[in-house]
Amino acid sequence: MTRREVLAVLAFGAVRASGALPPTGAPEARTTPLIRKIPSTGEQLPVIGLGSWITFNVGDDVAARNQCTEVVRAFVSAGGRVIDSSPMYGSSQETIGYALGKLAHPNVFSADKVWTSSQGAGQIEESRRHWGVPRFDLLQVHNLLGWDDHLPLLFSMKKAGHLRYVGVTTSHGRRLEELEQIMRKEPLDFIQLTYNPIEREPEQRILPLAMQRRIAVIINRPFNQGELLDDLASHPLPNWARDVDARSWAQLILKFIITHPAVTCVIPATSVPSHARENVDAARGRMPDAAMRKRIADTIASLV
Amino acid sequence: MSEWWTYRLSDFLMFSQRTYNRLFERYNHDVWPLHLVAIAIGVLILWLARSGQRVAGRVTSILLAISWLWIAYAFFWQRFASIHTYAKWFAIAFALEAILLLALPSAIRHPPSIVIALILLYALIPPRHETFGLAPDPTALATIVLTRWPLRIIPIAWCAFSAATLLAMATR
Repeated sequence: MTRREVLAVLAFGAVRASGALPPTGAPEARTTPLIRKIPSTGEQLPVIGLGSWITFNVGDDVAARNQCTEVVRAFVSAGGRVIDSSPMYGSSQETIGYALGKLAHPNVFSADKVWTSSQGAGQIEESRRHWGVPRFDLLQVHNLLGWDDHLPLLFSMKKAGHLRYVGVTTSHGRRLEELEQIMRKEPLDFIQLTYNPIEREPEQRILPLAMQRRIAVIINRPFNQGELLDDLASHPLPNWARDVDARSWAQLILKFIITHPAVTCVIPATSVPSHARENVDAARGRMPDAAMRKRIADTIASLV
Repeated sequence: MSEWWTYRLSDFLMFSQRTYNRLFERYNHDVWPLHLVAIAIGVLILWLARSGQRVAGRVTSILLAISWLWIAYAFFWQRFASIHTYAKWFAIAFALEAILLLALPSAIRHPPSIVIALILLYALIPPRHETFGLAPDPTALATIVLTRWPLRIIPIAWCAFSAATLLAMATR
């Protein structure tokens, strides 16, 4: 670990002292959802976003699209803004576009990806048309595929004002060394990766580096595609979860994730409107301190 | 694909079981009453297999080819493509199998009637009610038992993919 990374880890304590994390032993209740700044601009984002992998890939089924519209409605009305998708997610982009159209284009932060190694510009334009937005807020290179070809295109789009932020993504701890190299080399605004109470490898190098390099972090697959919640479903929520105002395992996991100071936003996916509301509510109420975060991670690791 | 060993079957599943079931529900609704025609074709193939007539192989290959072409277009191209990125490649593979069936009628064989009858009953299985001649799984299974190599390659490949999909959905 370099001297600067050590300083970034130490900054974890400074962030806690600044109020992003409550001081140990004295959780403070939040009535408004927690927000985080995008380090490169200072723009504020609600920490709970909405993913669309699998849940929004419903094809042209109007009934299912209307159900997804209700998810987006619940998410936005609860205070959520970041919606994430990819051309690799089947019809998810079209479903999001359908929902945004039905809801008269609410103020969302549109995050999408570029996926295949050729025809990036054409793919981005097709994605934009599916969403029905004038431009994307954030475009990310999906799973680092062809990142050295795509990043110059995305940076040129940003420079021309056709895009606001540039990022790269990976998931489930894959290619973290390559991600680290790109973070050191390229002027990224965002990275996206998997982090949750049982997948904590990013705490070692990636999250401290993101803080040091002032890169925003989006966390995908907070529930390991639902498997974590399935595994925990047979276990009662511990009584101490009430100390951080968590009413479900999902909220406890989300509170664990969003209280890492490097995390800007987490994007759980759901096809149930009440779950979208419950997810956003995880950013309200009391937040876990360092000791509670450890307790959450240890407890969940012992149960799954 | 790097770090391929870290991928699980469920990582390749693009849609939920609910969406997959809805796809068949809507497809069955849209194409009704073609199910009756498809079952009639199945019964005709069953009768041809028992009859031992010289034209049985040729007629069976034509009927199977019509089924594969229909599924390529109506199921994969028109419907499955809305939820699966590579569905149009499956459509092309199914169309290719139709051409092979027409080109190689001598590769038709006549299995025990009970096997074909069981495949026709596949349509009774809820919730998808996949019907021979209209849906890929029972049609591919029927083709495997009604043909010899190389006509079995594409049906077996499809059955492997479909089994992986069903397994991934069941274990999610």
